[in-house]
Amino acid sequence: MYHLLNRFIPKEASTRRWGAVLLAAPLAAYLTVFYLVPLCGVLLRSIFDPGFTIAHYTALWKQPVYLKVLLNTLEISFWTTAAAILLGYPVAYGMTYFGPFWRTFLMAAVTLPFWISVLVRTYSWMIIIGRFGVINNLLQGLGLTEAPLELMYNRCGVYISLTYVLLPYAVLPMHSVMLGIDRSLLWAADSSAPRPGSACAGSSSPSPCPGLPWGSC
Amino acid sequence: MKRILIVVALCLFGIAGMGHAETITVCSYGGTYNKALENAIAKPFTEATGIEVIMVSFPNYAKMKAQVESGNIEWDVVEPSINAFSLGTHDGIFEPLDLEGIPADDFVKGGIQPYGVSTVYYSHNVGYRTDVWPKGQGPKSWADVWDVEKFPGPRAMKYTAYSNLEAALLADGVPPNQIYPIDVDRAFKKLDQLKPFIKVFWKNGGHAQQVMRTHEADLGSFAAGRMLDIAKEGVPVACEWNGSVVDLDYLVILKGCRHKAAAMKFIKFSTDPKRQAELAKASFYGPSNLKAYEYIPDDLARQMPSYPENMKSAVVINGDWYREHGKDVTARWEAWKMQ
Repeated sequence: MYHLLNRFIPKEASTRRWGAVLLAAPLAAYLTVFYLVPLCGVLLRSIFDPGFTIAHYTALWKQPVYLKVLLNTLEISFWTTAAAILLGYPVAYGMTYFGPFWRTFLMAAVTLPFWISVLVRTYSWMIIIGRFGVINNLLQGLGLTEAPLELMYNRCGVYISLTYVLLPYAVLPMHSVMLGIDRSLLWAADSSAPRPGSACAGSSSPSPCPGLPWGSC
Repeated sequence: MKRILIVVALCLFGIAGMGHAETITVCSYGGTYNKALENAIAKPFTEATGIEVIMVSFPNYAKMKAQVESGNIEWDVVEPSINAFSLGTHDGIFEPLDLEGIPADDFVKGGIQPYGVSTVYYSHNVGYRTDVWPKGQGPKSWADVWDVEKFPGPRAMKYTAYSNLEAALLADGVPPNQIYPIDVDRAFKKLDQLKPFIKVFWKNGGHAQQVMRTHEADLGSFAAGRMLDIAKEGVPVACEWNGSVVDLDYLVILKGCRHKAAAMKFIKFSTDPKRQAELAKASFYGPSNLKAYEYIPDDLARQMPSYPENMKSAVVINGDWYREHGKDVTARWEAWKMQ
């Protein structure tokens, strides 16, 4: 096999390829044992419990509650992904644009939450958006609202906290792809664009697209 | 040099392994209740037997069943409440217990069973913030919880169908001794009225405490023990005993448990009335061994679900009814919550 491959691929490229396969092997083995195998077990159980049956799948359609849960999941994922990308794009772009100080500052701001447990971060949001939390106390203190706004224990709270948790996952891949874009391309686009700024929308927007699937995962 | 270090390390490892005592894992409801269980039962148990106890949470039925089916038992002693206990007994996922020497007559009715030994009565009570309504002037019954004109404000209820169906029927005027078999349609019709005013469906005792501590809700259905616990810290909350919906917790051993003898020792250890009294005093839940009341001061005993006076208007959750109807009722409940 190796010799066969050697015929088609120049020697240097083939060793590099095998090197990459070897590097990925531990991860692949780990995922197979701890992810793929149990997943297959669950899938098999869904059609062999107790004997061969598709009853569990027909129940999915017969019980409206399951479909509702599925739709809720899709709806929430769609809007949180959209919000994370919309809010994350300027940050990712800013990190490539600004000088070293602001770049470090933004990078720290994006990655710092990773060092704090999700539990603590979620709890912090409860302090901020709770019925007698920071926002409601501020609004009522300023006389802007009479009764506390319902920001939590509803969709609003879910969107706020999920978007917040997912934001770094949107910013970092977009940023790494943006770093790979040759800035001179933008200058070239700017110089030939009808007015400054319009080049950004046309030429840079499509390029970070490869980063988006990672951001939305 | 390196080789010597390795040998020394291996020896140390061996010694550490030899000195390691037997350890059992006990799975209960977490938070302040786990703390109480640890202090009242687990610590004295370790002192008496040398068996280490690791406390974890949460005794989810699917996890119990999955452990038994996979043969990979992580929890040696588990504390399901009456519905999961009834279901598990029916599904055959528990080991039969050695009940010899346990004074079954001292316990509440049904407290000692072939597959489970009860620990505490846990109750769902009408509860409210006393900074919204002064103590004694708040909601006194489930009908009051349903009365959104007299007692406006966001409600917090438990996330399960059980306890809420019973509360709804009590609010609708069904006497406590006629709740079972549950008229499910009537219960849901009554729940429909309250739905727009339920802000939080709390998921466990710790969550309920947090909801009342941060004043996310003004009133609702809460475990009295958990409320008394935060009232002690100065949170303005109070509970009513009228119409409490009561649940009994059991200690069980999952089938295929690897530390069966030690687990059985732990369960037997927990039945002692003095230790039950300590657990009750620390958790504010009612002891299932009624002899324990001899060791509990009267003013505190009045705040417990199994106190005879409190049991008069109480509804004890019927595990057998839920074993039969639980699946359908839960599906309907989950759909209802999302409406």
